[in-house]
Amino acid sequence: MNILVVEDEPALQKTTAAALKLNGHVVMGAETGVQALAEVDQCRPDLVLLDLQMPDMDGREFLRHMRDEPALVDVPVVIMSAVHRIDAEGLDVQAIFAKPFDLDELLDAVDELLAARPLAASVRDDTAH
Amino acid sequence: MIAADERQRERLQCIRDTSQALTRAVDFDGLFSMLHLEIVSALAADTFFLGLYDDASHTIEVVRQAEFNKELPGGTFPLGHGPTSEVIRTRRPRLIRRWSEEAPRVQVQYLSGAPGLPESAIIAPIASGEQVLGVVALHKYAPDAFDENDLLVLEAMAAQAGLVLAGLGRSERLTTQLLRRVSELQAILSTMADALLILDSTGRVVALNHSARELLCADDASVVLGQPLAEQTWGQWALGAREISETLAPMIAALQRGEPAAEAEVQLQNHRHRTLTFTGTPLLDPLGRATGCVVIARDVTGRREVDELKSEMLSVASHDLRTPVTVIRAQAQLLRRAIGRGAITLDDVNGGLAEIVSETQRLASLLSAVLDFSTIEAGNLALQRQTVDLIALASAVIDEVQTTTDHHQLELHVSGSAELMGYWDDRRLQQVLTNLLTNAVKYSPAGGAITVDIEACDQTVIARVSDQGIGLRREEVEHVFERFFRGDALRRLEGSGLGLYICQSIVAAHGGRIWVESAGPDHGSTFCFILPMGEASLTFDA
Repeated sequence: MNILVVEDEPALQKTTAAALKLNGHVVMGAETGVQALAEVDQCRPDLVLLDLQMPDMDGREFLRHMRDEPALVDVPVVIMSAVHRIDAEGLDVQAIFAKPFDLDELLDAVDELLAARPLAASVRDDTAH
Repeated sequence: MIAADERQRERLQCIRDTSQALTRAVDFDGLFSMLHLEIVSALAADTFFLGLYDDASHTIEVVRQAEFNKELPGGTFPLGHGPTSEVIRTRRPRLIRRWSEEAPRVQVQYLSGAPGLPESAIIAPIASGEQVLGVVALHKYAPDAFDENDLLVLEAMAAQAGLVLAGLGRSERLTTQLLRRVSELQAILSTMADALLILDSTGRVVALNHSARELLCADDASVVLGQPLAEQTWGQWALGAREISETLAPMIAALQRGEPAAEAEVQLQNHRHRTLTFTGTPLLDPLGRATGCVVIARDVTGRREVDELKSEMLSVASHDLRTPVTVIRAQAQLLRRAIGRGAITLDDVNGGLAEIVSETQRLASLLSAVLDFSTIEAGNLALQRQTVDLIALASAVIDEVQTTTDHHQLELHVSGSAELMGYWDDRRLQQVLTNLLTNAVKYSPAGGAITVDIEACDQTVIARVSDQGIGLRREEVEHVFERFFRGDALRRLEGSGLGLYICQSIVAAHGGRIWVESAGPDHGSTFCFILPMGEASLTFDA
């Protein structure tokens, strides 16, 4: 599965990516919201791991852009945030992980969300035909 | 016998009249006049003398004296050896039938055209309990003019006078105390930093102290005493005063009903941007009815700023500390997963561990930044000065930082001697240079030369750290030393926003100054600081 990791902290992006690759996923990275928008357009990820605090365009704004795009509206998004208290209201996401999160739990959540996804993907594939 | 009885009755009546009259006295002057009048009319005498005794100074103050009903000026004299002083000393009344034979003569200043000196006298102490308050004396020029009964009458009147005098003294003492309390309170009110308003039961301003006047009457507006706050005609510019009055309205209304009022707060919207809190207390009469209220306004702007700073610090620290902890945790878990699957090389393990070590260092440096920040904010940044060679110190820091990068060339340029000794805190200076150099590395991602120039100049030394990095915009140059500042261009790179603030505090603690020069974005930056050589003996070898 294609997973986009949007995280401005290179060390964390690298680590998360390595763990996802170990689980057999294809991983793309972006360090800012602007980069991430370009990336989702190109690679059509099956899931996005998203940091909230980023330069250029923060996670919330990126999420709004993403949800405005019909092709991306159903892509599951998992938040990874270091914000002291996350204001989750109005955030159209499937899971929220507060840093420092448990990598095993994060990977389990990713796998669960991806396992639930093929149905939605196939429905959309049907309508495309 | 009948004549004697008659005389006795007259004397008793006289005592009774005097007692009644004296109780009407409301002040000392009234009391003395009544005493004079009553005694002289009861006991026909040529002269009347009334003195108050001051126990502390052992002096007698003449408060009334008269001769043949003519008032004479008073005065103060020390306790002497005449019969009057003796009466005060012994607290026993005295009858003198023939002064020239019985008692030492004392100088009497007031005798005006009298035939010689008085020969007869009756003298009684005016006492309250054990304390002698004064003395009353009657004289006659003729000998044998008074008898024991006259002395008894005078004694009775003096005793009565003692009671009244003590009572008046108490109330006068109370008045004096009250006046002192009032002036103490006025002094407190006028010097207290908090603004204080006193309002009556109808909400009219009764009194306000200097701080309240300053607070409400900025820009020359004035507060009219006797008018409710809401009806004051504030100048159109005194926006703050109107805001205050609006905030206070519900509080004052509650207080007027005698109810306790909750603390109110207002953040003034005008140019002063001050935050004020108000607390009020109703003034109640003995029956518990509200007679008015006292409102105290406190400027908490500084305290609020500190609160905001603290919460900003908490949020920055928690955010910035979470990141390395997350990496360390995730990296360790990743290694364990990889090892568990047997899908890992020794190089992978090494790389992962290196990552953990470097994140731990980052965590440690963040923690010291937080600690330094709290120390600085608490005003506890203490320097441990000693003789330091700045050139050796800079050289060591350069070597250290050079190990972290291979695409920057760090160089030290020194003009003058090979040593530059000053009296500084070497650990703190090392911290400043390390911070400036790691910043230079961090903010010149394309690499290049980074130079440290050190130059001694008179009693000071100037150090410059220059890079060829991303540079700073003009507005960044102005704010770069502020706590939590991170320029837009800098945001992409890690940092708590405290490093330069801490550097500035350290340089300032040394009595120096730090600043930055930059020709603009992508033109590099030069961070400079100037330090006095320090207080200890100058050991700079020229």
